[in-house]
Amino acid sequence: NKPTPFFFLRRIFPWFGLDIGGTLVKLVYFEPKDITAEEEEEEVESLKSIRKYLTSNVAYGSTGIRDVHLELKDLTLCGRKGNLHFIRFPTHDMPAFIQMGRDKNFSSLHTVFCATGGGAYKFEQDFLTIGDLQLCKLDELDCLIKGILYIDSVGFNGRSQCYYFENPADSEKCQKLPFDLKNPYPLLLVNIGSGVSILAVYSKDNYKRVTGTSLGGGTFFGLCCLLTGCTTFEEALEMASRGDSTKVDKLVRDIYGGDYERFGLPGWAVASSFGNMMSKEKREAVSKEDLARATLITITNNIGSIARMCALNENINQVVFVGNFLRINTIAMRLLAYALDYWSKGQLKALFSEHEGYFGAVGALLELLKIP
Amino acid sequence: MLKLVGGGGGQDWACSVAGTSLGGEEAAFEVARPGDRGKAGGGSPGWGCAGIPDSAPRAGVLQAGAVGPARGGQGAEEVGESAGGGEERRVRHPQAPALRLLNRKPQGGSGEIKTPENDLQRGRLSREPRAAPPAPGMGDRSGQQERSVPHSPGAPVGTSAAAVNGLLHNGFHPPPVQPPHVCSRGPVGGSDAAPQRLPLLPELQPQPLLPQHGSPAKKCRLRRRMDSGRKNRPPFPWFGMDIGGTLVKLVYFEPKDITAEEEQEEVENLKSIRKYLTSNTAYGKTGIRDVHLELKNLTMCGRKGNLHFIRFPSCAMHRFIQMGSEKNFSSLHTTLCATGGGAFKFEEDFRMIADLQLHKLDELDCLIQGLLYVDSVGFNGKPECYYFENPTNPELCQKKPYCLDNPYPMLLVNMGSGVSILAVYSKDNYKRVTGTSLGGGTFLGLCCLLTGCETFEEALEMAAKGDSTNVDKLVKDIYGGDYERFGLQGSAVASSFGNMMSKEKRDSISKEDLARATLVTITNNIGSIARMCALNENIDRVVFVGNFLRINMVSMKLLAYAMDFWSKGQLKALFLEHEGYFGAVGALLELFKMTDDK
Repeated sequence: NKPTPFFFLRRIFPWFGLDIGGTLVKLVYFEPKDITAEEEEEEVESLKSIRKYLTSNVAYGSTGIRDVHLELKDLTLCGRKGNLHFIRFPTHDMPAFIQMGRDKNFSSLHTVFCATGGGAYKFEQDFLTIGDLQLCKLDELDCLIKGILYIDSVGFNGRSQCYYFENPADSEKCQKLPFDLKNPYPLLLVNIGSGVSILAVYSKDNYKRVTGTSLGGGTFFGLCCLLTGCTTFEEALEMASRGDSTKVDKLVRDIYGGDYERFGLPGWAVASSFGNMMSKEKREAVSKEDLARATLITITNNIGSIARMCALNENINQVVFVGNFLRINTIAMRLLAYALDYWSKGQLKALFSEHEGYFGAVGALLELLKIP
Repeated sequence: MLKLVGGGGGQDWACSVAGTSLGGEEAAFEVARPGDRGKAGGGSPGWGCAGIPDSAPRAGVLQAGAVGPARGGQGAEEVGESAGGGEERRVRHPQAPALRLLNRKPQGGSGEIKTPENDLQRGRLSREPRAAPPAPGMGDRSGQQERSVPHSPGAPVGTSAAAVNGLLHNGFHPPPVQPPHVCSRGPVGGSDAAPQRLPLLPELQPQPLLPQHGSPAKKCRLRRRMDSGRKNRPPFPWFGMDIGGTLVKLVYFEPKDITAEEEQEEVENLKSIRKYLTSNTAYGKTGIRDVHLELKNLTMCGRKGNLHFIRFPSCAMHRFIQMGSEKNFSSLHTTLCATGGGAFKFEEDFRMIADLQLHKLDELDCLIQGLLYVDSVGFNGKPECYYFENPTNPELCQKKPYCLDNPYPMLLVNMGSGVSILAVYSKDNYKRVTGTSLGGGTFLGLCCLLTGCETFEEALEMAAKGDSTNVDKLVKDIYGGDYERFGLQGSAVASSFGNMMSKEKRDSISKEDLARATLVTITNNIGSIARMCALNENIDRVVFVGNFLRINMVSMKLLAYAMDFWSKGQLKALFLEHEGYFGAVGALLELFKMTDDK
């Protein structure tokens, strides 16, 4: 099986996978660690500087970040050994990124640039006209699935990629435990980005998009900015961690004085999100932290509820939640874990993945390398 | 203890729920504004009970038995019956220690004192072991009036001897007059005399005491005695109450066939209630009577009159109860049928403060019974149910009547403070599929926070003027166009409020845009969930009710559009004129049923 020239063409470094989402751009970069002396000599200057720039920094410009803790070490891809790096920056900065690609003459590297996400379409022209780069556009959900299956198979530096929460509602006892996704199918995959897509995955080549919801991470973030004046996702989460949503929400017990037993609704369940906020008095009694918390709870519960309905109807009992809404968002993860378990009476299991929001980009990289 | 106090003497039943009366007393109390709305709808954090095993006989039928586990001989019956036949009912004013007196037993009959805080039994109205609703005398009905029999209210079919105040036979009232409907309501097939119609419950109950012998004249006399004894009719006033999360809905039956004799006997209290309610359209600062919804010339339980629809904010409940106490409502010895969460939450207060025993009912049972009933009687000759034709075309979109003759199965989406979604298979068989906590309360609450508005009306007004596409991140904002692969148009919302993470965009939008985005977000979310349920339950008609839709054309059209569009025309969104009042109507209907049950 002699590799074709095209095959080699795609294998030209640098190896990137790009996922241009509604809010964030996710970039995975494969850093070869097995470069021979000969190769190094031949290496184009611009390629070398890209490699050095990316791997010796953890922050790029004012908004780019490399998630070092997610780095996959000693990975073998296409016969090459190296590290896989995970980088993100706001989609808002795409123009600057494209500009930089132009300034660094990226096009001269003649590499194929595989990109997924809506931005692969939206910015295609800009890449071409400004950066002289032809994107290879890929579907985001195809890449997502490809990426997640691959990452799960290689594991996370020896640890498990996939995990779940035991005792999610108990702060003391709650713990994150590895989950072996050896029988991944069927799987309900809930991708929570700016918006949400829910996929039923039956095999690595067979999946369908069951539904979606526009109340996603972008909603949480956008509403928080409006309600609390915060400006970053981290800030929003930090406020939420200190708030009490029960002051903001109208609970079943606020309406019933207790449980609504007939239909199994405990008094602590939320009957009407933000329902207390129609009262001026109550509005004056809540803090920004309470509002942030309520926003988080509302969005999370809604997603969980829809996911549960889908799982029920598709007859699937493992639900994997991914996407950057869950990044550093233990509150949401535990809430999803708890709620799914509670309302399904233990039938459904909520699973999570360490590389959360990067699967699309990984899938794009795999597609570049034509790795099935 | 119930006070056997005579009528209120010279006082008029002045105080309104809002505290100002005919007499001009009462300070306005601090309540939320009339804009507040919604009901609990049993809204949950979106985690409906689908996972919770519904026992099969989902009692869609109102169970009169909030009074105790068994109908047979507890609760109401005890006192009522002990007073003998129908004597206690013979006159309308103060009766012997009323039905409700001993009915203080907490549900479940355990006898222990339960407080709102620890009473987890409260919700258990119709326990599973509860006997299935009496096979609704279908057999009886077949021999009785057919719904297609035309007759004016109060003029029963049958012998003239039975034509006393609209009574057909033993105090059972004739079927409601069928106003000219677009559709026929004749019995379907032959197997079931009246498959769709709400059982007009009293008439379904076999009347064991009817003498089977004697001349027609004698029978007639006996009947009259029982009728006037009102054995099978509750004493006035007739109310149905639905105490929701945001609004209290009250329906009041105003009798228009009061005889001179009756009027003379009428307690002052009662008269003043009637006059007060019917001669005002606003009560205090926040009570409102929706005059346009009034059902005229209705025959209920053998009496002819008008049905009035009144609402006020739930936060004014204490004032309402206080008023009930001050005006000695308990002396009327009437049963107050109440549903909604507040029936449970305020039960103690009613008892302790106003000495009134509520007859608590499940809100979803009442919703369904109320809806079926109102649809069956029609809306003063007009149809109750409607849909929007051409919902996707603003120019051509119009409201058209819909015949809900064969309503089953239907998906019922009740949008109050929160949302409940029910799959209704027959009048007695329904299940709560799921719910969502993102309801009318969320819309109003978020709007108040985001725009500074204070009422529902204000929020809607702002929303009517705003543009949500500046606030939301659309598919085209992310894809630069459509996301064709999965059929998502560029104009579809990818991320609600998704643009608001950008300071620049936050600075460029208006409060109206925010209000609009909130409305659209909540509405679309409900629509999406409803659509998923419809799909999974295999139901193609989705009926949207609840006060979130009151004067909310934007949401109704959006729902109509979304159902149609996303289902490629498979699903139809339906709406009803009396939107948020069905629970209260159902509670009123239960009043009649209770009275009849032994």
